[in-house]
Amino acid sequence: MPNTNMLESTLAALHVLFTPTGSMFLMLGVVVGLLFGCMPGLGGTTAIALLMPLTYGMESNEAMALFGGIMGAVSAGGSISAILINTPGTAPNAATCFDGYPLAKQGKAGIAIGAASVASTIGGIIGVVVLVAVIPLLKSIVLLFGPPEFFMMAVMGLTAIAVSTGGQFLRGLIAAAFGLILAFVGYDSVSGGIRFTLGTDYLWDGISLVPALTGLFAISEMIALSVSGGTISSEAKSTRIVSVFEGVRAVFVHWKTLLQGSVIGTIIGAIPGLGGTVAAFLSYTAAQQISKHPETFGKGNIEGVIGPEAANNAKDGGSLIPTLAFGIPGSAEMAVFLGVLVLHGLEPGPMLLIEHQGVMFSLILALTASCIIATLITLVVARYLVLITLVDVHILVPAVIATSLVGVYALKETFGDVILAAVFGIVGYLMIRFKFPRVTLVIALILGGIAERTLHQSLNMASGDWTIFFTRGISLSLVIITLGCLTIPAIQSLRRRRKLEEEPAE
Amino acid sequence: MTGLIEWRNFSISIGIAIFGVIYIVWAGTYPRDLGTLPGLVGWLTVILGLLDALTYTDTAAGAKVRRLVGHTVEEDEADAPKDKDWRTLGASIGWPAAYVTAVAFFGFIATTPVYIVLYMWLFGKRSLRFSLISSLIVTVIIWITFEYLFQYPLFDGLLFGASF
Repeated sequence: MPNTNMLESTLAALHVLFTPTGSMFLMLGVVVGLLFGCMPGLGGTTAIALLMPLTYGMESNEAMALFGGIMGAVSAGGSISAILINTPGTAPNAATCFDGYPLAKQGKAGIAIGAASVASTIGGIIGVVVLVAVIPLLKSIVLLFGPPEFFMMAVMGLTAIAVSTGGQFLRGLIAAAFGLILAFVGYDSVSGGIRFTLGTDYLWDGISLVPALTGLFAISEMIALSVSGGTISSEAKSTRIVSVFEGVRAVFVHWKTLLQGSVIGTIIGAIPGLGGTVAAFLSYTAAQQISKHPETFGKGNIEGVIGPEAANNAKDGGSLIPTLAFGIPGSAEMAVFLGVLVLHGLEPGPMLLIEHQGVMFSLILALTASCIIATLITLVVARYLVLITLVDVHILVPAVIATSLVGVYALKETFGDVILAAVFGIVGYLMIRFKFPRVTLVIALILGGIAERTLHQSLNMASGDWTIFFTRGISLSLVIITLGCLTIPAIQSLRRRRKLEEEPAE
Repeated sequence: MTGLIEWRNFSISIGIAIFGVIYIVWAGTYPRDLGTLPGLVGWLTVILGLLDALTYTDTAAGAKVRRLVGHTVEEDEADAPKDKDWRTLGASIGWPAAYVTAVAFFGFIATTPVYIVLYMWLFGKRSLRFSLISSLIVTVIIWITFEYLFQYPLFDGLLFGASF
């Protein structure tokens, strides 16, 4: 429905959410998100990868309700374990530990949980509002895109994400190259030929995305948990949670911290590769800078909970901007979510917002509703939810592996998918062990086909002339940004060296 | 001064470069429209693999590349998840592999409870009774969810007449 306006899409999405099935999937997503968010080592990425095959037979709108529910609830779950047992459920919740746990030790766990829940809800809503506000702008931008721009966008996205992998820039690019190599397997839509199938019919359709994602993000995490062993936490105990509304009130008292965290989260989330952890830590530092009592940070200052939690949930709306508009995910969670879109026949990329606006609004509304529902649930059952971290890894690992593989088989009833998921699980673990970022591999696997097709289209447009990428304004800008991204590690390294050289002089 | 800073990561990077060379040769066996872009990606893999290998050498060139890409070798091992021992690592990878192999022959419903019991009892050192109860609960949940609620047929195994 290319011409559907935003109001109609919103109303249609609301209608889906209020049907019994839509509401049920939203609630299921919230519960799964809270449980997986609360358990360190699992998180939203694993939850999405695990449930993805189950949604194959569902309507796209209902699947969006489920995944929006998960995405909105994960950070609320993660904040509970961060505050009560000093173990962040997801990486971005680590910043919440600094002041959340000291507050819990002072008997103020309820205040911290109240503040974290409401800050993350409001942050999440602000992120979504920004996303909705920029959609018309994004739509007019993507209409200016032709094949050369699509191709350069894919190259720029891969480079930006590889650069953002800290000191593993080269390994990020190697993982991206492997993703492209995997994307080339099977039927080539441009020439109609078959490539790199090792003589098996199974690979004619290419590497199936769902088994690959399940292996890379669900099975590999289970192997990593199996290697580490034990229980996820030994500290969880039922804690008295009182004065929750004092925490809720604190969020409004410190509204500047809340707003600042939300803005930081949305902006950082929208930059591919940076993700929630950077947003949360940056917001924590910024909260300390504007606080009247910066000396109490780390000792139980409620602003140290509000800032990172607002940023953590606001980043979801932000990271959906590049994911939905350009098919460039901002994080691993968004990369797996791109797999969900592909599974439901929604090709990631600039036309997504134009051709499937209704489905996208289902996701946006589900995300918003999930932030609110997750907060309400958290405020009521946080003390019991944290007990989930006592689950023995040795039950969790075989249960999740078996469920993942059954789900992968159920999708197409092909045993090759089960083998593929297991292989990717092992590859994924080795990537974790040797610090190859999995997210760049996945993005290259998803974008590889699109990149190759648009490259051929661009060269056909220009009769084989490669300068087409440098003679069009937007394409040239993307080339410059890509080259700029490649120089970032060298600049960062230079700045670090200068700083080190200056330090002894001081 | 020459030498290796970290042999395991160095070997992996060299392995990647060798894979890149094999891939270039493989891509060369296809017609031009099918093999050109894969060939280019193969070259990229070789170059990146060699550059990455260089960062793990104690040479002037290695130091220069490390500075350029902002790579700190010391952080690699400090941040990486620790292998408890090779047996734990091998077993952690071996269990899912064994499960998939068994499923191929006996199917999901027959294999899953056995896999969970054996994993929990032998690898996780949990009591046999606890392992049995847990495995039955998980298997029943999987069966109800997939076969009953979603009506997805589960793989029966080659020995029970299923085919790949």
